[in-house]
Amino acid sequence: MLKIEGLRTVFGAAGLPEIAAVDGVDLTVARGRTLGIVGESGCGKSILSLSIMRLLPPPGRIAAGRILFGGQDLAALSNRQMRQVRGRRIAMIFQEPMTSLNPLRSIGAQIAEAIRTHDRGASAADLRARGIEALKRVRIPAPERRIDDYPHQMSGGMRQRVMIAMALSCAPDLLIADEPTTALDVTVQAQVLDLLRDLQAETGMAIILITHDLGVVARMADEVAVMYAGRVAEQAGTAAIFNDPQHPYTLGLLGSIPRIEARPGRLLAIEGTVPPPFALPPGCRFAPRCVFADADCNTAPPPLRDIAPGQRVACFRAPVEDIA
Amino acid sequence: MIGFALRRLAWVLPNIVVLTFLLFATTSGWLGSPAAMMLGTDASPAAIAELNARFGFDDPIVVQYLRWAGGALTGEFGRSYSTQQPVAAMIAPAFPVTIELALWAILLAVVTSVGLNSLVVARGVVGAISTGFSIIGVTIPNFMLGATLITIFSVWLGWLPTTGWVPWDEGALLHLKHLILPVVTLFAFYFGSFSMVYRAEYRAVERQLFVRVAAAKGLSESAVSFRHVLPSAVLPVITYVGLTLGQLVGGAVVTETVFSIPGLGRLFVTAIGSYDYPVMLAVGSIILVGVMVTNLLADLALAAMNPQIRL
Ligand SMILES: Nc1ncnc2c1ncn2[C@@H]1O[C@H](COP(=O)(O)OP(=O)(O)OP(=O)(O)O)[C@@H](O)[C@H]1O
Ligand code: SF4
Ligand SMILES: [Mg+2]
Repeated sequence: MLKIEGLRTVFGAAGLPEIAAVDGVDLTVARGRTLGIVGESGCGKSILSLSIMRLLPPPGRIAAGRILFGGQDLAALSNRQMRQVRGRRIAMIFQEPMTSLNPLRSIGAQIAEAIRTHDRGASAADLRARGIEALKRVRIPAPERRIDDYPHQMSGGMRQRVMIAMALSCAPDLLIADEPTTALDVTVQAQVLDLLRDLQAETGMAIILITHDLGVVARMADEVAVMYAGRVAEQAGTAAIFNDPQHPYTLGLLGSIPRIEARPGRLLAIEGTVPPPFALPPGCRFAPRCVFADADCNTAPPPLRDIAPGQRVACFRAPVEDIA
Repeated sequence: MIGFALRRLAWVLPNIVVLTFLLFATTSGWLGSPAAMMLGTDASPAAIAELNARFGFDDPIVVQYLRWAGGALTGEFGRSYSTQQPVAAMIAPAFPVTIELALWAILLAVVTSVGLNSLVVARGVVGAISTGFSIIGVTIPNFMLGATLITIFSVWLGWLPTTGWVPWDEGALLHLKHLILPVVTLFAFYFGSFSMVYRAEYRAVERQLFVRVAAAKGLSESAVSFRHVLPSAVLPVITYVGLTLGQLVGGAVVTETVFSIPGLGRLFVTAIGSYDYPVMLAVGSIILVGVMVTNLLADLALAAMNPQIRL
C-alpha cells in the first residue's frame, strides 16, 4: 500500500553543502499491517515520517525518490493535493502528547477541526457527536464531558488518546506513530499500545510505528525496518528480525542473542558512534563499526537485496552465517 | 472569570490610591507653595498666608490629598491656575479627542501588524516591508514623521488639512480628514513595535508541536497560521497594547502638538509650561488610572483567551 523507493531527503540551507538526513530509503508497508522502524537516535526515522507527510521543516526537502501510496506518488503531489491526503488518508501522532494539542482550544474543537477539514458539510451537532464517538473509541471515560476539556486538564496518557482519536477521526488508511509512548509511564505505554492494536484490528489501517524499544517492536510489529545513518539496513518480518537477523547492525542491536524470548530490552550499544552526515564513509556506512567489514565494504554502498523471502538486507557479506 | 476579575480589581484599587497619592505629593512638593505660584514671586507673605488658609495649603499633605481625591471622585478637580476655568470643564472636551486618536491608531496598528505578519503568501515580501516599516516607525521621531506627512500630503499635494481638529457633528468627512495624518503618525510607531513583538512570538509559536499537528490534519498553511499560530502569538501583543493604550490615554503629546489637536496631551504640555498644577494632577491621574485599567483589561482579555489562566 505504501512503497517508498530511493527516498532522499536533504537539508540544504542556502550556501551550505546539503546534508542528507534520509539517503536512499526503500520501504514497503502492507495494508492493515504494522511496520516497526528502529534505529539509533539521529538515523532519520522522524525525518522519514515527516517526508511521507510532506511536513518537513525548512530547509528540508525531498531531493529524490518516490513515495507511492494508493497509486499516487506523494512526493510529486501539489500542496493542495497533499492536503487531501494529510489527516484523511495518512494521519500522524507524535512523541510528546503534552505539546501536541493546542493549549488554547478545547479538545472537542480540535477534533472537530480535523473532521471538518475533510468533510466541509458536517453540522455542529454532527461534529460534536462524531467527536464524542471518537473519544469513546479511544476509551476515554465520560467522553460527553471530556470533549469540552482543555488539554491542560488531561494527563499525558489521556492527551495521547485524544491525539489518536483525532488522528483516526477521518479513518485514515495509514497511521504514522513517531515514538507514541516514549514520553509515557510504563503502564500507560502498555494501555496505549493495546489500544492502537485494537483500533487497527477494528479499522484495518496500516501503522508505521517508530520506536527505540525493541520490546514494543516485538509486541506490535508485523515487519521491522532497521535504519542506520539515513538508510534501511534490513527489513524483514518481526520473527525473522529477532530469530534470524542478517545485517551485522541488526545483530549488534539485538546484542547477538536474537531470541524473542530473551526479554528484548532497549537498543543495545554498539562500539563506536554513528558517522555524522557530513563525514559518511564512501562505502557501507556501518563499515567503521562492523566486525565483519572487509576491503570490499568501502568501495560502494551495499544495495538492499532480497536474501530470503520477505527479508531484505543491505550488506555485501550477508547472510551472516556464511561469514561466521 | 468574575472571581478573577474581582481579584485583579482588588489589587488595582489600592495601587491607584498609592500612586495618585505619590503623584499628588510630588507634584505639590516639587513645585513649592501653590499660593506663591498663584500670586507670583513678589506677593506679600500676608497675602500668601491668607490664600494658604483659604485653600487649606497648610494642612497636612494627607488631608490635602483626601480633599483632592474626594473631589476627583465626583469629577471635581479644582480650577486651573492659569485660566481659572474648572479643570473638569477643560478635560471634558479634550478626553474624547485623545481617546479617539488613541483607539484608531492602536486598533489599526494591531490589526495590520498581526494580520500582515500572519499572511502565508509572499512571506518574504511582507516580511521585508513590515520589518522596514517597523524600523522606520520605531526610529523616526513622531514630530519628524508628522511634519513630513504634513509637508507631503497637505502642503505639496493639498489632499488633507495641515492641522487642527473638527468634531464629528461638524461634518464626518471633515472630521476624518483631520484625523488621517495624526492617526497615521501614531500608527507608524505602534505598527512597528507591535510587529516586532508579534513576529518574535510568531516564530517561537510556529516551532511548537501543536502547529505541526494542525498541519498534519490537512489544514492549509493559512488556516494553520491564523487559527493556531495567531491566537498564541497575539498574547504578548495584547499585554503590550494594555501598556501603550494606558499611556496614550494621557494624550499623544508630540503628535497632538504637531497637529494642533486639542487633546489631553496638549493640555498637559500647556499645564506643565505654566505650572498649572491642578491640570497636571488631573491629567496625570487620568494617565495613571488609564494605565492600570487598560492593563487590567488586557489581563482579562488574556485570561479569556487562555483557558490555563482561568482559575
Ligand atoms: N531541522 C533540521 N535541520 C537540519 N538537519 C536536521 C533537521 N532535523 C533533523 N536533521 C538531521 O536529520 C537527521 C535525522 O534526524 P531525525 O530526527 O529523523 O532522527 P531520528 O531517527 O528521529 O532520531 P530520534 O530517535 O532521536 O528521534 C539528524 O541526524 C539531523 O542531523
Ligand atoms: S557491507 Fe560490510 S561493512 Fe557493511 S554491514 Fe555488511 S559486512 Fe559490515
Ligand atoms: Mg525522532
